[in-house]
Amino acid sequence: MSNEIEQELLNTWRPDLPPSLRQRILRTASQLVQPHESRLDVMWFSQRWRVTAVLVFFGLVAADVLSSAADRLASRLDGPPVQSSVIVATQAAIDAGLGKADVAAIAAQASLPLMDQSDARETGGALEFTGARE
Amino acid sequence: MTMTKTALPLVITAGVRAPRDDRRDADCFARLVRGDRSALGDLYDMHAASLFRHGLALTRRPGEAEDLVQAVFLKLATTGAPLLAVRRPANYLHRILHAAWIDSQRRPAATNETAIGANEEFMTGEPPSPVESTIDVTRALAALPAAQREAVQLHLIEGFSFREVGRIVGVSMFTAASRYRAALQRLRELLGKR
Repeated sequence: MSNEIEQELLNTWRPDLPPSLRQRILRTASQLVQPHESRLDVMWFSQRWRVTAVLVFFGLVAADVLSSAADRLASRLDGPPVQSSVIVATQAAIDAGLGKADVAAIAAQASLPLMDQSDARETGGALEFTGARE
Repeated sequence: MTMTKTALPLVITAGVRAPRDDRRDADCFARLVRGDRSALGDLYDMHAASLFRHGLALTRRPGEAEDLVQAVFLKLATTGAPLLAVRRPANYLHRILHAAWIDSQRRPAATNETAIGANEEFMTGEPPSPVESTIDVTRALAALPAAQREAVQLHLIEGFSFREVGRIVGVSMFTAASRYRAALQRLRELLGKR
């Protein structure tokens, strides 16, 4: 039954557009049309620009993630981080003008694993004291 | 049926739904943003009839429907760059018309124009004789609440989906569908088809 009513509605409800309306509306509305060619507006409201901006953003995020992952992988391949800390500590000791024995002691302390370093710190004062006496 | 002097002639032709061409509409919007006034004429030719029918479904008064169509095009002419972000131009135009109608409802009525079908017996609640004719359907449609007429107009005549009708009117898809079903049910009762 609904289909019958729908069919009747489709066949009936057809008012015509008044012929004078077009001229009236266009005459009034045309006077208000002005160019809005601000490049910023065009970019801001353009669908293409928005999609491009989103893609660029996600591309940068992806590049950042990949870059940090590559750094982590590279440092893992270079060897354990303790080696770099030994080099830094040794270089710092040499730059500070300490003697060979102290440099060796500092290098040995830096090369200890983390658990052992906490114990070594207790003797660290003695090393420094020894270095100061020299 | 005694038609008033303002009533419009009924053109009984099937297939009002013109295929919507969003790309062409978007191109017209872009031209309008660039200040090309001829785009208004193109948009009018493509959408004015549909907008007028929508306005007429809401107001039942041709003069008011014309004003609503004019409000749509005035809004178009002054909107500017935001038109570039419109994805469904046809829906957008009908949404403007709906908003213009709501605005007009807030203003005090100052028209003596007779609504189509308003002076008929349907408005008094008397059951009509179950005569099947185009006039009867028109009168029965005029007796429906504006929201239901709008749902019928947009969904059945203009071919918008319930989701689109909901977006145009500002309600959920389910509300739009229930309005449509309620309209058909009421029409069935008014036309004596039980």
